[in-house]
Amino acid sequence: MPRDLRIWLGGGFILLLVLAAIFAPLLAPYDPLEQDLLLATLGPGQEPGRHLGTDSLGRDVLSRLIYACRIALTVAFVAATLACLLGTALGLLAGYFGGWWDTVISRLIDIWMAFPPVLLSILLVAVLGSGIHSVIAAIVVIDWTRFARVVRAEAQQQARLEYVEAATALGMGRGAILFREILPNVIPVVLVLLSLEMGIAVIVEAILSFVGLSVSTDAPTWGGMIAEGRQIIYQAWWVLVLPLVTLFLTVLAFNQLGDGLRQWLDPMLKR
Amino acid sequence: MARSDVEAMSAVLDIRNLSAHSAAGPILRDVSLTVNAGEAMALVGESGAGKSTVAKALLGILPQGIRVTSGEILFNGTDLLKQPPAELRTLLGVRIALVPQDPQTSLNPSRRIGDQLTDGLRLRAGMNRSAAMLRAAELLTDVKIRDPDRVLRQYPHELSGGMRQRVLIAQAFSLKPQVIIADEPTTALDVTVQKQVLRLIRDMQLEQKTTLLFVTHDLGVVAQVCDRMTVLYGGKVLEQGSTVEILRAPQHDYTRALLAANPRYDRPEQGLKPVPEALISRLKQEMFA
Repeated sequence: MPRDLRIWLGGGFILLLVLAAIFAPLLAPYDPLEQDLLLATLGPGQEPGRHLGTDSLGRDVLSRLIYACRIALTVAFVAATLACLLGTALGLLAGYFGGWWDTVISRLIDIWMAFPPVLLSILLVAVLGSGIHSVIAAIVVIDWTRFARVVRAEAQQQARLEYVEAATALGMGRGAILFREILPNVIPVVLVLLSLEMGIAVIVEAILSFVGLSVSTDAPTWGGMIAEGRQIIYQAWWVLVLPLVTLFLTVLAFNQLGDGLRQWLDPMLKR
Repeated sequence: MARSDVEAMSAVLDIRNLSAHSAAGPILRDVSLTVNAGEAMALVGESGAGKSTVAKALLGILPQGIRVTSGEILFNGTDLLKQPPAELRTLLGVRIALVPQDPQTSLNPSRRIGDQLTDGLRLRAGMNRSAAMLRAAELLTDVKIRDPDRVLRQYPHELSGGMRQRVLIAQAFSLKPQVIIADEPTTALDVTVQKQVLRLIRDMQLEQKTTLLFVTHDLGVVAQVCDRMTVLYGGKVLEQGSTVEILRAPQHDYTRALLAANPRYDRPEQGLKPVPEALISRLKQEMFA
């Protein structure tokens, strides 16, 4: 897929979600928590106004999907950004300064990555208590290694290149070289990772809310909707399928945006 | 006072008995050379002769695994090898600058030319951004780059090899250093561009009265640019003196063989004459004896 199309489609879909999250009260036709047992498990389009049908408690699926954007995107942006900052900082230190820094940080990464991530996140949330802050904390604590590993390798490689030597011969200090010479070359890869990480954060949030460890159970989340839909899959497939498709498209959009950005930011590929 | 002492006094760079080792063995053996103010000194030798090691030792950027074991590098009388890294850094760029070997990799691929060229002016000379940009445009004009304002906004990959090398030359001269070390600055360029770049370096050196240490394997380049030359083989100085004299009447067998090995475009029937094996084994014997 061409670069610009990836950015436009990926970014466009995410922008749409952001707008949906911000203007949820205006866009959602119903209160996402309002139950109407007389109108339970209505299929999409069966009842005027209920465009995407209702779930087993008669709650409006479209409204719930829209409100769920809020939690998904908050987690995606905040958790991924924090993990990115932490991981990039540690990766730069390890990769550029090497020696003692590298030994400590690399071993830390090795140990960290030996833990199975999903189990670790469930454990963390169980310890910290459920809620959006715990979900974010769990993602940051687990996924900083993704950034640290890649940034370390990238910084290490950049530090050996001749322009770093040339900058040293120009009398630039290590801090100046780190920020002026190495960081700009690491940023493209960090942005790609950031975009991928947002997709991953959306999935992790969905997993945690699927097992009921995210926000309180009645607040709409895609993972929670999937969990509910799973129980009534034969009576009302849309309650399961619609949040699943939304989740899938969201992660796909983040990934496509990341790939498009990588090509766009890399001056070597720029034409 | 002996004559050599008087010479040493006017020397900007005075390298005395420099030896360096790597895990594999000696890289430099007792290298001594002086470069006087305003003079262009060539450091000649085949690959592995240790010429780049001398340059890197001077700048304190020796690769890991190579260590200076003895000797001193006097710059205006102070030993650079004894300077703490922070002290050395205050000299680099400002008093001693480098024109690196490979223009492809010596510019940061993700920063605009203007940003890179103004690093020294801003960080070391304390100029503000707009003043530094104006100065950078002047510097690009000095190295005969047309349309400098456009080039300042471009990325390295948008420039040709010759242009990039000119940018690096402009950067080296930007803080008016006393000494410039050029580490094979034309090796990565094609022949026609080489000639222009050499002339540019020579002209700027003469104009600004910069002292130049020119590392190269190319005797043709030496003849064009340098006043004096030092021939290195296996980390050892074989011959030293004025370029004209050495090229006209080389004293050492190796220098003679090296000159004979230069291709003669006017006499293609002679073919290429490599340095004779017998001479190389003799040199090695002398050195490892």
